[in-house]
Amino acid sequence: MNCKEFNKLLALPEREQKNITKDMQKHMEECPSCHAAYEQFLKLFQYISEEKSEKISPFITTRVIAKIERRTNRERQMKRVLIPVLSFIFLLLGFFSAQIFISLDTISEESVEIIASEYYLSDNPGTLLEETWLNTYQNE
Amino acid sequence: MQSSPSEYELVKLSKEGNIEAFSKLIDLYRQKVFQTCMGFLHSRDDAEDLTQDIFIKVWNSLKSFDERSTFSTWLYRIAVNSAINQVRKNKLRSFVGLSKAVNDFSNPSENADHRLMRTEVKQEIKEAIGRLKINQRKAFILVYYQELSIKEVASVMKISPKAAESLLFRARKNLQKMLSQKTN
Repeated sequence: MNCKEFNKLLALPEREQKNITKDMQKHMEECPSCHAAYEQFLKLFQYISEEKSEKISPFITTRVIAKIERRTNRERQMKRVLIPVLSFIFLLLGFFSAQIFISLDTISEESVEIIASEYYLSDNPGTLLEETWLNTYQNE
Repeated sequence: MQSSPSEYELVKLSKEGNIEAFSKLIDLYRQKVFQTCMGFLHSRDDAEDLTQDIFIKVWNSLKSFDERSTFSTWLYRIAVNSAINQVRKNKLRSFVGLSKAVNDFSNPSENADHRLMRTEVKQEIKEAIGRLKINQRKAFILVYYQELSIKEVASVMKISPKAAESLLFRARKNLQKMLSQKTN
């Protein structure tokens, strides 16, 4: 067995950390660098098992649930406040938009009256307008 | 990773907004999710905080869980992606000098030289795992920290079992290479 074959066998996913073949064992005895690589590999899995053995605090469930409940309550409270406030705002908006439409109607009626009175009661009613029309027809 | 009927019921009730059912789901999976977070973050405090955030995220997105995969697969997928995002955030934090001191699990009765050596070895291992490509790291952590089978890893990562196996092989090979380079 050479180093390349040894490393390939060591990297196989199904290879247990301490379960090595006789060939691998023999190669390790002859090759210090592969032996060192194997030692490092053992350290890696020892490190993983140390990290894995750490237990999470059992209070994590309570903490998560408390956070969720706090958020749900806040949302419920927000809804309780937001719905009346939004309804009031919409009511106000409705009232003001109605006011705007009413005033727009008044303005348009007034402006029609002003234009009519200017046209008929001026010294030369509609002269300018008629001249424009005439010029337009002549040009055509 | 077949959902047992009771788990199915718990998921169904949680989807309807039953907090008690959800707390039972947390009890069932908190250790597994925590182990995944440990694999990525290597810090007990950070892993616990992230586990908490993951379960809150799961609660908020339970309605979008369409049951095409099992609940555990869906949960592990969220856990792995959240852990990767957290690693990115931590990298950014350490870049701007805001990183926290990392936990050490060494025995306090150990002598100082030995402890220092162990800390150095752990640091090397941590760095080596951190230098793996994202998909290789995901496969490696899901297998060795969470003890999932190749088939389960494949369904969490949405890849074929063959691809998962190949990722794991490459991860082990790269770790071997990185660690032996350090020794030499």
